[in-house]
Amino acid sequence: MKNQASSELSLPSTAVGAQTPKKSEKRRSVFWNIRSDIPNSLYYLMVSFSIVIPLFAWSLLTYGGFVDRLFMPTPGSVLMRGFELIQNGEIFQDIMASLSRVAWGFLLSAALSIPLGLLIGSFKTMEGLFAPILGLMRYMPAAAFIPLIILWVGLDEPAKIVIIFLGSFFYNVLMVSDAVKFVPSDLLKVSYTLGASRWDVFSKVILPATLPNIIDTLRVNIAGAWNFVVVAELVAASSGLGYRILQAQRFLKTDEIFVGIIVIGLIGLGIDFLFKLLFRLVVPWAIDKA
Amino acid sequence: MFNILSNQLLAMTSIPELEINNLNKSFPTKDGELLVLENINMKVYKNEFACIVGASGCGKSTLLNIIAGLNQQTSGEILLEGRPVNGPGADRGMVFQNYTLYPWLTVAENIEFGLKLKGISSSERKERVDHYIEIVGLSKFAKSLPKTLSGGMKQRTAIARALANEPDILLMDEPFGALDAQTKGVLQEFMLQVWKQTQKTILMITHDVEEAVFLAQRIYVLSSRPGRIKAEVDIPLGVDRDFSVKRTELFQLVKQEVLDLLREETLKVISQEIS
Repeated sequence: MKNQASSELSLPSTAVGAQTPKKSEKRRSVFWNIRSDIPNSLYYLMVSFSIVIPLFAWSLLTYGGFVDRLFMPTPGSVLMRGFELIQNGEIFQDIMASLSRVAWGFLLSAALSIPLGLLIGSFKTMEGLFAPILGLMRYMPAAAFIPLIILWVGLDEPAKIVIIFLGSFFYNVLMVSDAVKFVPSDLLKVSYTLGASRWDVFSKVILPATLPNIIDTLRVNIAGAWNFVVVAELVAASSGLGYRILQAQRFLKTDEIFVGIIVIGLIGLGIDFLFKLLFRLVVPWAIDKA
Repeated sequence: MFNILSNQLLAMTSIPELEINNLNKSFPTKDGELLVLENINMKVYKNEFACIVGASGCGKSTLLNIIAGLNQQTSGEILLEGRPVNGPGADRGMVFQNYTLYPWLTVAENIEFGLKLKGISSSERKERVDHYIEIVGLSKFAKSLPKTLSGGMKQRTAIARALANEPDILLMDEPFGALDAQTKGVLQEFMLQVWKQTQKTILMITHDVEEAVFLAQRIYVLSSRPGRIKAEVDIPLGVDRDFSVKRTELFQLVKQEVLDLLREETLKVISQEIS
């Protein structure tokens, strides 16, 4: 077993050794260029490493027999399990259940936090009224409210939506109110000299000026909401990806846990992509030219 | 043309478009009240191009902000066509040093912004936007977003936006301060043309003496800390000027006179800072 390991590990090390003399030429290497472009080929090589190396390590550990397959399944078995779950359609039910919870919780959170954030960012009075209490509540972890939520709201769907709401609401408010402060004050001043009333400045200047930041805020914070759906489903649920993972653990189906986690990650990536797309469509003027 | 000019000169001697009487401004600080503007008295006549020059930190921007109604004076009055100024309004257009275009609106939409606020009909809006976009020479860029424009084009758009509102007076706070020297020179000439074409009353702030002498009919020199009107200088260069006037002896003389006045102030500030 040990021999096998050393022979496999020695392979990459010689490959690196062969490359070093080439790099030590007079010209400075582009590899450690600070904040500047590198050739596309090098960039995509690094991208492929970021996928291949973890996959290689995983394969090595599992196929090489270094870990018990009960604790860590092989990539092949995870893939197989994934196909099975897709074929019998179970995974789609879980995805839909989790997605709808996030959608409701986060929509509710956005619908209340965006106006509140805009108010706090625009008016010192509103900042005084809301900022201290919201600042305190932000430091209370949403997960710590779960027992209270179960007592107050119960174990059903509303409880999960409340958890997701609490997990994203305070950060949304904070970041939206900050976005207002990034609007240059000269932009507001010039609007007054063009005849704008306070309401005009709020609705026709502050609102459109902060829209790119609002979309970005939602993109960042929906990642948190997506995490909380799993937490909520771990507590009490009979469907959803979190529930699927918990069930799989009970029956020691490690491969299914892996499938669940990977699907959660991929959906998160998809949501992120959708928000970036939304940004390009809604506020094309805010895309950097560079 | 000659008629217009003589009318202009006639107007200058009669009606003050803007009148500032005994204006003071102080800010509260932890060491007590800090006086930034002291006993400011000045007039800007109809169709006149006036400049305020002063060393940095003399309170000239504060003064312009007070005239625009964005800031409140501690005492004294500001009269626009005889009416006291109270708060900001579309009758005083303003152009800032920093680019203040709405980045989500095109050039034409930026110029249209104030007209929409006024509730002007869409056909008249289009007419006015077309007119002023023509004056600043940006017709080809009507549908461009500000991020695609150069600094000089941005300022021309900002000027057109302020003019399209047809204010009684145009206030400009170092409008060319952020531009490179070449663009600045071209825009100064452009500004003279715009002034002659639109016959606007303009009050501009700058620390660039050459710019002030080139553009203005009258210069107010502001002293430093607190800002007072140190001198009022009439610029005897006539109304029709172009770039070549900068090479004349008269121009150089006037420029030197204003520079000397300012130099005293700058030296005063520096000696204050050292002590």
